[in-house]
Amino acid sequence: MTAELHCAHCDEATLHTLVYAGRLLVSTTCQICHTQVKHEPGDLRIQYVKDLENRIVTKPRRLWTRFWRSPVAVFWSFPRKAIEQPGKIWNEVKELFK
Amino acid sequence: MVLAAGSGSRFGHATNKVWLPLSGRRIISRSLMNAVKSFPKCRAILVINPLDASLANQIISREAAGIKVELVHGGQTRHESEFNALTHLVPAIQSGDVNVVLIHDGARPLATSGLFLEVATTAHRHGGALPAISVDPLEIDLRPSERIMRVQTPQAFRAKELLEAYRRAKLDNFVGTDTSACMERYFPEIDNMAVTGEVHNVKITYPQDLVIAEHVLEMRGYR
Repeated sequence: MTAELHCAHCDEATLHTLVYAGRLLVSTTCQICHTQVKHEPGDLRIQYVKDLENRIVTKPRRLWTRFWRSPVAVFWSFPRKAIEQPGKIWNEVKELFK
Repeated sequence: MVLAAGSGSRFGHATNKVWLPLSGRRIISRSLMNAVKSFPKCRAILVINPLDASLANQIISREAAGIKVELVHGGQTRHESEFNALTHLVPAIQSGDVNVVLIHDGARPLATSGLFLEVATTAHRHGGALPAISVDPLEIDLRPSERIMRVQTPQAFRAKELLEAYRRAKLDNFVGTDTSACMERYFPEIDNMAVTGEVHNVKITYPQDLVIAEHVLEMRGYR
């Protein structure tokens, strides 16, 4: 994902590449000077585990809410999303250990 | 009124920072939810870039379901976006249904509902209110006697005067840096009261702000 943020090194608004692992920001990188901002890796991994637990615990409620809001869309998208989930989590874990 | 009409990028197809995820929800939906939490019966207006309309609808239905949000297209500047939103409110302001307008920057997702309430109450009583925090003179190399305040949003003003100020500004081609600048120019007699701002009410500008905001949300239990 790219977004315009103010780079402290370039001292102007520049495009940044943002990498997320689940709900957590792993890093932002300025596309001009390549300055990277990230959490301490150890902190982030601990945080990721806590966040993953929270995602798993709250998933049924979130899915149920979404289902009542638009049952047809959730019904048809559910199988694809369920299949994609392990790959998605594997990619998140890879980001944390880069 | 939550402002999120920034173009996103001068460089191409980048996401406007207000649509970035922040601990599981978009920055803008956090700003919007904090704004409406204290005022369940009030109107909520989200000022967006017309190019973001479908994204806005998608995010509102997913993350701010249950809230009736009115979308208004913004302009080239913050001032113009505010004017467009006020124009949208003209019938309600003239009829007296809306008597105070709060303007909040969509890139400030950590302002608490308590701050919104305090700003609104103060504006209702005095005419205008804005949150401010003092800056340590040493921080920006000032003489100790000089006082500088760091102003935040939400800012709130009595609706009729605010609309009138923006109408006059339009005629004069005046563009204010923020809402209070416009009010102070056209209604200097109205008390624009400072309420105590919040240290954590950061405007997401630098990449570091996203990291700080995540930590603050973690402390607050992601609420």
